[in-house]
Amino acid sequence: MNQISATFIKGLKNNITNKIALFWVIAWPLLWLFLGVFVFLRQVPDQYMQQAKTQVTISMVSFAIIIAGMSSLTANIGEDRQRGMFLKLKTMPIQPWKDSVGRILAILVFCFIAIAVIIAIGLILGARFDAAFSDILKSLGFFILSILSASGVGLILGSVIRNLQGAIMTGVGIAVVTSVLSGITFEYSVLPSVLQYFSRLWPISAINNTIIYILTGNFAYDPLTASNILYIVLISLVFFAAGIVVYTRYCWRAE
Amino acid sequence: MTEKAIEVKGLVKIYNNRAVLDSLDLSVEEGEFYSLMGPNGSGKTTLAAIIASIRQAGSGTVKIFGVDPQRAKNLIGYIPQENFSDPMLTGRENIRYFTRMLGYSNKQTFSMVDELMEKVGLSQEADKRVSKYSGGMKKKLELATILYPGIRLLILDEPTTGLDPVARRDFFGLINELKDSATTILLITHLGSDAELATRVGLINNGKIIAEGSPRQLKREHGAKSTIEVEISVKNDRVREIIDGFNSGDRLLDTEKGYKFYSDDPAEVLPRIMRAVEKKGYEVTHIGSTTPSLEDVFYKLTGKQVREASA
Repeated sequence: MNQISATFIKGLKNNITNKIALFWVIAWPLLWLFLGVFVFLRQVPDQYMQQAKTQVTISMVSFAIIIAGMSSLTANIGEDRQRGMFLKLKTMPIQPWKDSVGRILAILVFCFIAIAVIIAIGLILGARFDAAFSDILKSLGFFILSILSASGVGLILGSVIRNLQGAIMTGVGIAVVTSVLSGITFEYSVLPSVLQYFSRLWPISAINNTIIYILTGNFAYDPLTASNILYIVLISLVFFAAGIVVYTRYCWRAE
Repeated sequence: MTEKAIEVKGLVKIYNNRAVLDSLDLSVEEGEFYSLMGPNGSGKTTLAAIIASIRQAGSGTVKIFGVDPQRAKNLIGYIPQENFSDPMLTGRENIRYFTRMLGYSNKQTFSMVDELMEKVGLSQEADKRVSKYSGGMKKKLELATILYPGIRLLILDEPTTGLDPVARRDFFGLINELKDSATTILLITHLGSDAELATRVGLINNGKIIAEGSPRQLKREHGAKSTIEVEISVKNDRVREIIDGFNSGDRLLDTEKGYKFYSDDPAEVLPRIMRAVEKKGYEVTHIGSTTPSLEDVFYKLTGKQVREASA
């Protein structure tokens, strides 16, 4: 527990005191939330406005999660490697999985801070969640799966790409491109059919679609089927497990 | 009989078809201050990394206090060449992180962190972010990460890189002051002045230890000579030829403002060089000799300067 909590505290402090991480994970999605509400949704008829604002708020939460997992976590790992922290840690009696868990917990809490801020601003701007308490709990569970899958990608990028700048830019690139292609920053129904298919397969967008359905009761398809939920859980865990394996292998292995 | 802190036999490590370590043997007794000195690429950092279990041996055996390095991690305190402390955290937060990573409880950590910060003289700066620390302060902070109870072998990989002479002296002074008499130190360096502090020095070149002994013994046994340095108003072939006439064997080395060579008898040679150069109408702006250093011993043995070989 000591090693997990040490890594967790260090990781959280790194994120919440890093202006770049705060900008990309909280300010950037908020900027798009404002643009969505005040610019892109202006033509939406009044009766659909609340639903649209709620949908944009949830999508921006997913966007924050994807940036945190794929870019902030990547940066944390890359910075530690660049400054020789792993050289030091490898010589200490530490179990790598405990370090991984601490890092993931730090991203999890950082994401929850981002989720709270974005949802609070979304509510101020008119988003409404007419959902039961159990639906909110289900959504939180799906958000956690989303964080795990994004973190899996972040762990892989941070471990495999040795150049810090390259790792961060690749993370941001994957986050932005997949968000656009999978309908996180677009309306799912306007995507071409091939991208709609991608949206159902890419774990973060599949989870985003599911949460929108749970919290608004409305989406272009019913994501709450047993097979879809099973797929989402499995694919998220596969991404996460792959991340842990690659991280412990590349960052902790004695060469 | 004291226990062997480090015992390396027939160690080989190959990178890109090149033997970075070539059947290397090394034995360091418990409580010894041993320095491994050599140029970049000589294999010294690779050897330290294998002893510290960062890298794996190709073949051969490595034992730390009689066990495999992986099983001796709780006995080893390692400081890598780079500043590894987190610049976004304070000094205290950094030490708290390492203390918790070593498995100490929250309660133990609080008292231990204060104690360690005091030991390395950073109590007043403990709550400043490490990004505001000087190079010397960062090294002191990192020194605190190897002073935990139970650590019996300190591995210091080029710890004074980038430090000014005062900070270097402070750093080694602190190590001598803080280390337990039974603690073993392995210092990796390319600086003769740092290596001189050790009780025993191993000179490493091309993955092999080419000479070993106390600094004094190495200088005596390998006949290192004094260095004569001449600075002159004009550098040209004529002057070079005059000075080379006093050089008893090794090649004459160019410096920024003159020449350098090794001599057995500087007291006799210095005035003769002055006279010879000035007779030909050139002005000697500075002339002097220095006593032999470990760099000179390395040069004597390999024909290469430590820094020249590093380049």
